[in-house]
Amino acid sequence: MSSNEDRIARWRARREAEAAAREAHGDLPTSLALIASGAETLATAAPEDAGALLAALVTGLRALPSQTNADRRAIYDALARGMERGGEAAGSNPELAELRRRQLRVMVRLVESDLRDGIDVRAEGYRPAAIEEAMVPLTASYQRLLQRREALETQAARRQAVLADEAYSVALAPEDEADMALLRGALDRIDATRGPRRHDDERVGPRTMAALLRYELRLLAGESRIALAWTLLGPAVLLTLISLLYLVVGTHHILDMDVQTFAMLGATTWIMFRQIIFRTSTAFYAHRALLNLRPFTATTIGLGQALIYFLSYLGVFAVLITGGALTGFFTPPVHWLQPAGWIAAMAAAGAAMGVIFGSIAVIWPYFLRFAPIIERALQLFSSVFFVSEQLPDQYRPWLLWCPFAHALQKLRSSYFDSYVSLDANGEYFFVWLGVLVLVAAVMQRAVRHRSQPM
Amino acid sequence: MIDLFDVSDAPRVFGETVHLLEDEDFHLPPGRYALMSQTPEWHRPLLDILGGVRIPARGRVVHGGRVSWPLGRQGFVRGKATGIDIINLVSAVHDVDPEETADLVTMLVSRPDLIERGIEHWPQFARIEFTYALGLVPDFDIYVIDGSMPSEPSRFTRLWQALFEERLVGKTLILSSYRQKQLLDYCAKALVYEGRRFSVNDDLEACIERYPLRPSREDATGGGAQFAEDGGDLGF
Repeated sequence: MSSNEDRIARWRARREAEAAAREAHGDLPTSLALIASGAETLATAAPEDAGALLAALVTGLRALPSQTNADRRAIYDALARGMERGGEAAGSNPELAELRRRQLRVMVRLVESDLRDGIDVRAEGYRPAAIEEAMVPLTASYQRLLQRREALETQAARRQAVLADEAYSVALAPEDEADMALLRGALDRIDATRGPRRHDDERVGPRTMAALLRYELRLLAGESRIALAWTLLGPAVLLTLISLLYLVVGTHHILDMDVQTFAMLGATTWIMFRQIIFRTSTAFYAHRALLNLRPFTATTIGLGQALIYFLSYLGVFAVLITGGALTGFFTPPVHWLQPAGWIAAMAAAGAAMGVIFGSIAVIWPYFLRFAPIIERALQLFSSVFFVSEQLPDQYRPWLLWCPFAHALQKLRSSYFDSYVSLDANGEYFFVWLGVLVLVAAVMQRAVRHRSQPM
Repeated sequence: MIDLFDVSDAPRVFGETVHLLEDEDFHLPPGRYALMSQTPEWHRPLLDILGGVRIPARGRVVHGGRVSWPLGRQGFVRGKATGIDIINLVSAVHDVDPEETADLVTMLVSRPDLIERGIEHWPQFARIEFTYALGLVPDFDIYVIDGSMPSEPSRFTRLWQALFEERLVGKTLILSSYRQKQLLDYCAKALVYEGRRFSVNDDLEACIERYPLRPSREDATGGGAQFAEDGGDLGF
């Protein structure tokens, strides 16, 4: 009973399938239309699943006369046509349809090759030998196509967001989400605590200058642990040299100043002066990485260096004078402020000269090679080793043209109670200082556009 | 918004004086621009002028808001300083909290352990990550980017891109990059430099076709501290 009903059901199903096949592929003979119709579902199978397609192909070959090339081509075409239609109906992507086409083409080639070799392709369980390795590259290229399409879609979405000036949501891994929330929170806090917008954002203020000094000091300290000790060593060596010259010829006092203190004042001030010139000019010319931060200019960076070396040498003075006075090696100063003022004035002169040298170096970098020679020549005339009052009258102008000689003699004059410099003229020095600062200001402005950030 | 008033500029680029701008008056409205020209090797000095880190030989450049330093350059992220030193410096200059800044950068970069070490010992990728991470911190109105943005598939890139997208909304961007994808991903229009003038072109795709995309040299300016130690510390 049931077998009869089954038969009826099968017959009905076949008739319905035939009707559907004829409707869809009416221009084909019914048998081919059935194959085409059966292939429609293949279009939507999993991309890497080529087994169903092979099964449909072999079934077609078995079911229909397929001895001639033309017969077989009709079957293959029916399969292709069915899959196209199935793909269109299911709205599957063009990449998948292309994959199916390629899979069918490769399979047909393998089957035809086996037929030529006399292999029974209609046998149960038939599988072309090379089918697996032939399918793998097809699936791989399909995956690549899919990825490319996704990338293009992402890019198009991004482009839309950019044109609309919206934030595009970058795809985040689930484990990134928590970090993202933390980072967003941190940025919000930073924005909330940020100071109000100022008009002078681009100018260097005391806060940015302090930050620059702190940064440069950290660099100086980071250079070497002995960097600070080294700043003490320079003056010590020079003052020993000067003192020895005097002590060897038996001089212990110069115009009532003791030789050691006399030498110490000249040597330390001069070394500070030359260090400031060299460091400022080098920083002005070469430290261009910091120019990328807007408030900083070559001048601020140069002056930052000058300030650091000025402060370091104030420290050196403090250590030398305190230590020397305690041990009785140096005479302590009668005033503190006045000598400090003269040292500061010398530092200012050094900074101005540094900026001038740096400005020249921006145009002619080789100039910095001459800086030590110029400094050495100036040293001879700047009352480092002796003061003008030690010389006969006719030779004094040889020294007194140099403004730094005036400053160093004034420095000693204010330091010692016993010595008053009659030759030194403070006004002469300060006029020179004013000229130097003015020249420096003009020159740094003239070359400012040539200092390119590194 | 950036305004150029009567700007002329002739810097030295690759050993010769180049007349970059000649009496240029230009108004750049807010927006996202890709800097494009026939000479990408001149982008660096142009960005210096646009970003305000170098004043032109003549004329005036006015910015409507806070400008970033040129991100993507190695710039000041180099030398003996540690990451913390740089964070402190940038925080002071841009008025942001240094502790929070350090926290954020540490959270973001791939190698947070390097931050307390000297930058000269960092691998290249760490410097790049650091400078881009730091660039996120101050809320700039105008972002200037000289070089390619992070694009390697990594946690840092994903997070940075997501945060930068949010930072960039409503802001101005000037990007000079040789990577076409990044130009399209971040820019809406082209800022065209041609014949010593700037102009804005709405068709970025066409400009990308027309102008070459070449990497500019990493460091467009030579020179260095070769004379730094000549003076010596001793007074004789």
